[in-house]
Amino acid sequence: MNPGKGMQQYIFKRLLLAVPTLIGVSMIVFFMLRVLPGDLVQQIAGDNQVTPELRAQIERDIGLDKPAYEEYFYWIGGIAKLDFGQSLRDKSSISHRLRDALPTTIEMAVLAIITSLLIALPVGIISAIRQDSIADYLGRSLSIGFLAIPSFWLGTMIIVYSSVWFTASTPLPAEYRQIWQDPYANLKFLVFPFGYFIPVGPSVLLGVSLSGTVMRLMRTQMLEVLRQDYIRTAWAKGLRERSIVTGHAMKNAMIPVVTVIGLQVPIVVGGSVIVESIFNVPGIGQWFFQAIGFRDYTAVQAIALLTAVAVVFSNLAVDIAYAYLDPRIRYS
Amino acid sequence: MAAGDSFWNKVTEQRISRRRALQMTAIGGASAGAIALVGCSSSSSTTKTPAAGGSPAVGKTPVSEGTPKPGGTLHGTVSLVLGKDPMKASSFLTHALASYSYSRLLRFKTVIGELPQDQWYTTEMELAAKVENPDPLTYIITLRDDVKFHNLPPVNGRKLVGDDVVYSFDRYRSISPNKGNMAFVDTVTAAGQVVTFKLKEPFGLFLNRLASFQDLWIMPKEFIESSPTASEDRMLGSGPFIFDKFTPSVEMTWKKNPDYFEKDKAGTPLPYLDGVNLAVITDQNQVLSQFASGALDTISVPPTLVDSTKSQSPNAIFDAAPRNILSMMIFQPESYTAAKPPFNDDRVRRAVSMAINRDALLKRVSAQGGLWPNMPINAGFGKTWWLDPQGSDIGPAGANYKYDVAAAKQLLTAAGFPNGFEVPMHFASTVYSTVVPYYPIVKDGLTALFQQVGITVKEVPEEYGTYISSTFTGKFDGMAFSLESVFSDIAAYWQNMFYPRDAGGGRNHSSVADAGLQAKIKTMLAAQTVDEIRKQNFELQKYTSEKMYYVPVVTPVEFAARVPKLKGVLNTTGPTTYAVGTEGALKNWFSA
Repeated sequence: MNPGKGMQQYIFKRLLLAVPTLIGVSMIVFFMLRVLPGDLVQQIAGDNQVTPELRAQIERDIGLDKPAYEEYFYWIGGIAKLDFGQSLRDKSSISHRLRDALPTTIEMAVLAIITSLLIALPVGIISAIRQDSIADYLGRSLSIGFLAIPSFWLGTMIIVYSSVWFTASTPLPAEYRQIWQDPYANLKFLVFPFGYFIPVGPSVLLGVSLSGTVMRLMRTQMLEVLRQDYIRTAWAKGLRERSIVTGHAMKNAMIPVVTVIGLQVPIVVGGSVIVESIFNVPGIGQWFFQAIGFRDYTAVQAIALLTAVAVVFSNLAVDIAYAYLDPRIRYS
Repeated sequence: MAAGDSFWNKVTEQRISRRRALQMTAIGGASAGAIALVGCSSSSSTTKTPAAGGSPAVGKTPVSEGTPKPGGTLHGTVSLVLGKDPMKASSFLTHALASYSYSRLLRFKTVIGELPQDQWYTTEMELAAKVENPDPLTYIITLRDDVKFHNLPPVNGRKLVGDDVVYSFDRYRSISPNKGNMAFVDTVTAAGQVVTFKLKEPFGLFLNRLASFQDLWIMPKEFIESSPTASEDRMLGSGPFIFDKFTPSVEMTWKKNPDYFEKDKAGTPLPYLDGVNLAVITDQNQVLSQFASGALDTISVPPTLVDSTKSQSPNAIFDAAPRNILSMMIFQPESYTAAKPPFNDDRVRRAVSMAINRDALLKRVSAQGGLWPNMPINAGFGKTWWLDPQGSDIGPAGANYKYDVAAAKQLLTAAGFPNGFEVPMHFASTVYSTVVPYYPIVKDGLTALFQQVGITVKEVPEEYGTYISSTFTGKFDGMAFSLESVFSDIAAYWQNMFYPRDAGGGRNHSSVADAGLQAKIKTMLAAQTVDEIRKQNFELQKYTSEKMYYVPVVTPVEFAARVPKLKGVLNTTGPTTYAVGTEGALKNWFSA
């Protein structure tokens, strides 16, 4: 079978399978929110006593006067038109807010993963090819350090000490520009917020915290691959170290690493709330956390569903990457 | 492996055994530890104790700051934006934002600098030009003739008239979660610029209620009804600033209203500022960092961060005032509805109060300490409304506030608990600690203090959403460390906390059912002079201080920091008012 055609069919099947997956996720998120402890009506009323008429009014306002299944279908119908509804908390359009917040978080996630790869791959490879050398010990210590040091602590230290020592601060969120509006300002906000091209921004911080795992895995995989017979054959043939490592060993070592990177995507997309709070990045992480606390069902549903979409597509991308990295892998 | 003969290749390729690596790490770690011990043996201490005179100088704004200069944009911050329609909102955060764009009939008096305590929470005119009170049930308010709504569609700068007040009141009565605060109003009618309020029963603090930031904001009908979400999409009123834009999690901005009706004494139109930008920042370190770098002009500073703010911003001016959020212990409703021990016995409740070392808690929280709240009137109301538990006027009930472990134990023994008891203590584990940073510090202190008298607390943390819909509404066991909503008149506290829950007692968390107290509150609020209300208010505070239905905890002094060039700051020492638009930013200006 034509490998290209096989790949297309595989992608098509995976996309079809994604539909019931996402429907299942939407149902779980929707109905689980409604069994959470805490009275949403009381939450909206705040400290005020909820009289029966106030309850009826609030329920009418937010659509809770309908049966849950009817609400669900109404919500799904809206999503089909890319209308995610209104925030139960402040009535703002979820779609409008997603339009600004989602690209920000996706961009931060992409930059974080790129940062993590830029750190982890070279250090992991050098650690492996110079096993038990000073470079290896340093690399391993670095990876443990990155894993152990909480990103929120590091971020706070960066913010506090930059203001104390340099009277510098990260840009206000008011200055955030999307990458298509002002690429330099955008990258400055996310990567080098204090200027001078010093990379201590939120994306970098997130990437550093991810790099520890990737670094260690890369080292382990490289060590295993370098012990293979075909690598020994390559040495025996007199190939240079660089071409052996990059041309022969790396691709095979990357397969599990790509899996781990795929698993990290939902972590950076949905779990960047702390870094976003510290650096004031107007992404979906902070919003998600606040929405859960305020029982803003529509916002939580929308963000959870989009995170699920990110997971599905990132897993698909990982599978496609496998086929590129290892020609033996064929999808039929 | 191919080995080059360069120095760096030799270094990088040299293999180190694990034993050697561990030895090197141990030596390096020991060296680092020794250096750290030497470095840390300085006189600095991690324990915060307020040094004598160590708190930053509190700005007492001089009487004359020079001639105000129009211009400049005020950069401030807000932690959360929960909506734009103050009529629909229950959160003071929304009410604070509303005050930039909307107006009330009256507002609370402000001055530049220090407001004398006997003027705290007194009202002054805003949209009203004249107020007449021909009988206890009638208030006739004549509106100013020169007030216009913002010059934007659909109102296009038209004049504000009496019908706008009627419309706003009807809307308030229809949809506001706070509408119970005006349940005593019978009808509101208008003829031109004259608006008549008819009450069902006398209410001596009606003007305070009209000035409240939680209640009657005047909004134009054609704007509200232009679309179902108009009031949530933007703000459009008659306030000093015109709403510009809101970007979620980013900022909210306003521009100066060039047609605002107020002028200063020299005839200069207000506001002086060209605009206000509030950045949405949730992280406190980020707020301090932005302030230190000059990106923000004014910020709130939690008491525990005053020293670090001062070190980062040595030129900043700090203003301090006791905050009006009431912190208190509340007891399970069955104590009052079913006489369930232990808190059905007022000796136990008084013992709980005597176990609280309020001075020690205040020292932990704030460099300038604070005051002791009464129940239910907080120190933030000033001495004209708040009966100081440490003063002589409170009488024998003052003993219930004094920290006295021995006396507390005696009371517990007399109540049948010689060995104390174990009790769950509920508290909100989220949100409160963001909005009120001293909350977790005080909570931790309380646990230790109660233990001293034999009350073993089992902490029950509750996520805010769960807390507000269960514990806050009276569905809890044992006791809870709670915060009370802020009201801008004492009547609201008395009514909300002691009336029946289905008759105006929306904050009667423990379902206190003291009919005699309720009758006295009603009598007090019907009094027609403020002095008479004050007198009765003090008597009631003595009574509730004996009963300790709720046990008040502490009122720390809290701080705001500002850049020196920001002038015209209102009420630098005075009550917290959340209507910052007209009671804060209105007269701000920049000297440079």
